[in-house]
Amino acid sequence: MNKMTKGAIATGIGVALLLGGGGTLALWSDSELSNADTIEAGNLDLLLPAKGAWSSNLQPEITDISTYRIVPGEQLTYTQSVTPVLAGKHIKAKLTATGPGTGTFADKTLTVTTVFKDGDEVVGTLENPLDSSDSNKSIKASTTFVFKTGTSGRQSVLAKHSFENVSYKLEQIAPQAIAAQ
Amino acid sequence: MMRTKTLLKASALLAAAVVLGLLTVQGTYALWSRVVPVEAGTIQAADFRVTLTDVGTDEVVDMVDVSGASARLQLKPSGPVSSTMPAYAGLKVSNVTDAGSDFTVQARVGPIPTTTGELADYFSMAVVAKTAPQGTAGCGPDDFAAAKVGGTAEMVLAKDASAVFCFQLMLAATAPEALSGRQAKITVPIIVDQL
Repeated sequence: MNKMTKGAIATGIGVALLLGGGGTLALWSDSELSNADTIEAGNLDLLLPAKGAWSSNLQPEITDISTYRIVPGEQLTYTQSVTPVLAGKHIKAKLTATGPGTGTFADKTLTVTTVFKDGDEVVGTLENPLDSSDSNKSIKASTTFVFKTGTSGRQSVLAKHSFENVSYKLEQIAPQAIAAQ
Repeated sequence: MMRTKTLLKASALLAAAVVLGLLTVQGTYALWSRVVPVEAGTIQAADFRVTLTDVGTDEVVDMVDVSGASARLQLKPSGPVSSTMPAYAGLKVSNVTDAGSDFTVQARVGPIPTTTGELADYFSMAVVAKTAPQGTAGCGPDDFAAAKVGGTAEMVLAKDASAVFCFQLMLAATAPEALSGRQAKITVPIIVDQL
């Protein structure tokens, strides 16, 4: 190998090493901050400021539901204030009660329903969902237990119905894309 | 061609697996939600409890026993009955429900008292309801001054209230003397309804 060849090989290796070093070969570049600020997520929460209270259509106030005994034709209502927390320009949510509870009443002798009202207006439904304007409002939740008048004989005497596994659920409704509105 | 078919099959299988996974997990589609326990406690139905007391002996039974069957209470009359001397018996009915609210019931003597025994054809019975304030006193001739023989009776009882059905047992003047000392049994149904 002559000197010329050796020199060419050494130069080639040197160029290859430069290429491996990366930035050494950098061309012009520039960078600027996007100024896109910060994205902040909204909020969804449900607060129960105080414990609710039971009442009867036959007796306005029930001080202790654990010692109270219901009879056919009676309607008990559990009333509780719930406070939704909703933050977000496009947030909408529905409010429901999860299940009627469990117990030993004969199916045909009872009905359990829950409704949420802002004043006289029923709210929290799919048709009238809550939004950020309802945030921190006091919404009245009323769960009504009806012991039907059609109960016959001694049906459901001493029966029990527990609300232990019943919850209020505030659930976001999927936002609609602008194009779809 | 064969390779394209295999690739299509693999893609379809993968897509099916993704859809199945999404459907199974469900939560994948969930948005924000918040669940708060209601803590409303437990509701309990009242006991529909009515007691029957023989005014003559103070024996008390629940109208329905633990198995749900109707109770039977044998009343002890005031004495033997003759064609000239009726006998009397009293049944106190008490509404002892544990209902939380007002709970009013109506008790009535059933329409068809049945009589068995050799005296059956000669017996008759009148009944009257005595309510408060003299509701729990014994029964006698004064209670039947205006009562019709064979009549029925009813009473309305509020929660914790009691009243008495008075029964007058009579023997017809045509009863043969040969039946003297014989016994007869009258079964009187008592029916209680919630009002």
